[in-house]
Amino acid sequence: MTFTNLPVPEGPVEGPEGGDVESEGSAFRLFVRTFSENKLAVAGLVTLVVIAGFSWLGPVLYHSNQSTPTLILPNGLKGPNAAPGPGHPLGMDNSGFDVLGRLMIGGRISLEIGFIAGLAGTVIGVTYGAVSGYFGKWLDMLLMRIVDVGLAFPIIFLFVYISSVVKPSESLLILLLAVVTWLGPARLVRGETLSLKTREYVQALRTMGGGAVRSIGRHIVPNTIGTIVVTITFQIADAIIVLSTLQFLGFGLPPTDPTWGSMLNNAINNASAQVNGYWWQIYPAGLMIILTVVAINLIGDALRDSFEVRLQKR
Amino acid sequence: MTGYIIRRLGQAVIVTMGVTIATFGLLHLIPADSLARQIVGNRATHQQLQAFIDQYGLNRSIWVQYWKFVDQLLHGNLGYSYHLNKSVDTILSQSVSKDILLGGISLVLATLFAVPFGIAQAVKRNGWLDSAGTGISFILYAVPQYLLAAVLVIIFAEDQHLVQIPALVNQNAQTFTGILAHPTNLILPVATLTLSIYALFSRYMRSSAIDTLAQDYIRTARSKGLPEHLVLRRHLLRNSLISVVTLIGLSIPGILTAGLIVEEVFNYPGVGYYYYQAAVSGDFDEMLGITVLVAMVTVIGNLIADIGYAVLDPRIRY
Repeated sequence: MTFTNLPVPEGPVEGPEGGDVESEGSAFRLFVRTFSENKLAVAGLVTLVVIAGFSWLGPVLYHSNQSTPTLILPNGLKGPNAAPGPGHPLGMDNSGFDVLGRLMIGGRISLEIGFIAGLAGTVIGVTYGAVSGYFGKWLDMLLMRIVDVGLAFPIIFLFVYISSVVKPSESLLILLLAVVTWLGPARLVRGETLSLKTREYVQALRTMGGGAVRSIGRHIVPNTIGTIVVTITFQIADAIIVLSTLQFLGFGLPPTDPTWGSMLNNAINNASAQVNGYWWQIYPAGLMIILTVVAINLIGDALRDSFEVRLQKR
Repeated sequence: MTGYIIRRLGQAVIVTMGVTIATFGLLHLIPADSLARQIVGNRATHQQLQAFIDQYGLNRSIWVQYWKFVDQLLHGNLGYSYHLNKSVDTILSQSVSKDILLGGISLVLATLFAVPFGIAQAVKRNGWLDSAGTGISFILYAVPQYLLAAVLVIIFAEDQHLVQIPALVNQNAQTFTGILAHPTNLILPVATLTLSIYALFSRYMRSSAIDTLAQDYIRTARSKGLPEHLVLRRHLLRNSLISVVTLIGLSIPGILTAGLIVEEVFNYPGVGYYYYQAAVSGDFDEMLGITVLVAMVTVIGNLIADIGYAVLDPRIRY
C-alpha cells in the first residue's frame, strides 16, 4: 500500500502522542484496499469485466447472422440444431441462429436490464427507506406495511401475471424489475435510518434548522452507503436470475431480443436439447448466467466484508 | 409477549387487507372490456359481452367491485377458471396436497442437509470442508432452478430404471395416489427443489452457527469442561434450530417460486403448474385467485415465524 497521493506536509511534523494512528483514508480508498486484498472479489471483478467485454466488444470481432436463421450451412448440412463446427464454434440453436453470436447479444441485454434495474430499484428503495425511517410515527407504519404487502407476493408469480397482461419491452422489464426489487433495500435503509437519525450530527443539523431533505441527503444516505453498495450488487444478481427465469417461462422479450434465459427456453422447451444431447444449446448459456451471478455475488460479499454491514438477507 | 403477539397479529391483518387491495388493483390493470372479451371469447356478440359485464358488475363503481371481491374472498371464493371451467377453489383443493407433498419432502431434506452441514462449516471454519460448502452454495444460488432441473435430467434420464424423464411424469402423476404409487417420478422434482431450498438456507445456517459459536455461553460450557460433542449438541444445535424456524418462515416466497418452476418443468400438477397454465391461456381470474392464496400463505408464514421465534427463544422480550 503506497500513500503517494497524500499531500506531503512542509517541514517537520510531530506525530500525535501515543504513537501514530493509521489513517483510514476516504471511503473510496478503504474500499479499494479491502477489495484488492480479497482474491475472490478480484476474480469476480475480472470475470465480470471479461463477460462485459464479450457482450459488447464480441459482436465487433465475431460476426454472425442474427437477423435471419441459417437453414442450410455452407457445407450443405442443415442449419438448425447443427453441432459445433468451423464457422460456428458453439453450434446452432433450434431455429438456425449461431449460438456464440447469440450469447453475446443475450449478454448485452441481460446485463443491461440487470444493472439498470438493480440500480434503479436500489435508488427507489433507499429514498423510500430513508424517508420512512426519518419521519417515523404513522408515516413509517404506513410505508412499512406497504413494503410488507409487496414482499407477500412472490416475484415470479407477480411477474408472470404482469407480463401476461402487457407484452414487455426492454424498458418495461427494467421498470417492472425495479418496481419489485426496491422492497429489500427499503427495509434495510429504513432500519439504519432509525438509528442514524438519533446521532448527534443529525440532531445538531435539525437544531440549526436544517430540513429533512438536507438531513437525509447529507447525513443519512451517505452513512448508509455501505449497505447501499452491497445491496446494489445482490439486487443486480437477483435481477439477472429473475429475468432469465421469466424468459425461460416464455414471458419476456420477443425472440428478436435474445437473452440467456430465452436461449435456454428455446433449448429446453422447444428443442428438448437435454434429451437430444444438444449440449451446446444448454451449457454455454447456462454457464454465462452462473458465472455472471457468482461473479457479482463474490464482489458483493467482499464489499459487505469491507463495510462490515449486517444484512438480513443471506 | 402477549402484547407483541397481538401487535404482530394486527400487522398481519393490515397486510392482508393490503394484499387484497393490491390484487384487486392488479386485476384492474386490464380494462373491463378486454377482460370480458377474454372470457366470453372473440365470437361473442356485443350483446353477450355487455350481458357478461352487467352480470359480473364490471361496469359498477370501483368501490362496489372491490367490496364484492372482498366479500367473495371472505366466503372462501377465490374466483373461477374459465379455461378449465372449474372454480379456483376446486383446482386448489386438488393441487394443494400435491404441493405439500413435494414441498414438504424437499423442505425436510433441505433442512436435514443444511443444518448439520452449516454447523460443520462453522466449527471447521476456513477449512477445506467450509470452502467446499461455501463454493457449492454460491454456485447453487446462481443456478436458475429450471437449469438445475435440465441438468439433472441430462445426468439421470439415461438410466430409465432410476428416474423417468419429465414427459413421462405426467401420465401417472395426475392424482395424489398416482404420485404415491410411482415414487420414482418424484426423485427429480424433489432433488431440484431440495437443492434450490438448500441454496437459500446453507449460507444463512453457516453464519448463524458462527455467531452462536462466538457467544459467551459456548465459552462457559467449554471452560467448565463440557465435552465438545455436548457443547455442539446442547448449545449450538439447539440454538441453530431456533433460526431454522425464522428461516423457513422467511423463505416461503422463495420456496413457492422454486416450486412453480419445478412443477412447470416436470409437469407436476401442483398450484404452481396451474398458475403457469393459467398464465399461458390468459386466465386472469384464476391467476389472481392463486396469487391471493400464495400471498396469504406468505403473510401467515412470516407471522408464524415471528411468533414462533418469540416463543422458542426466551431471551427475546418485546
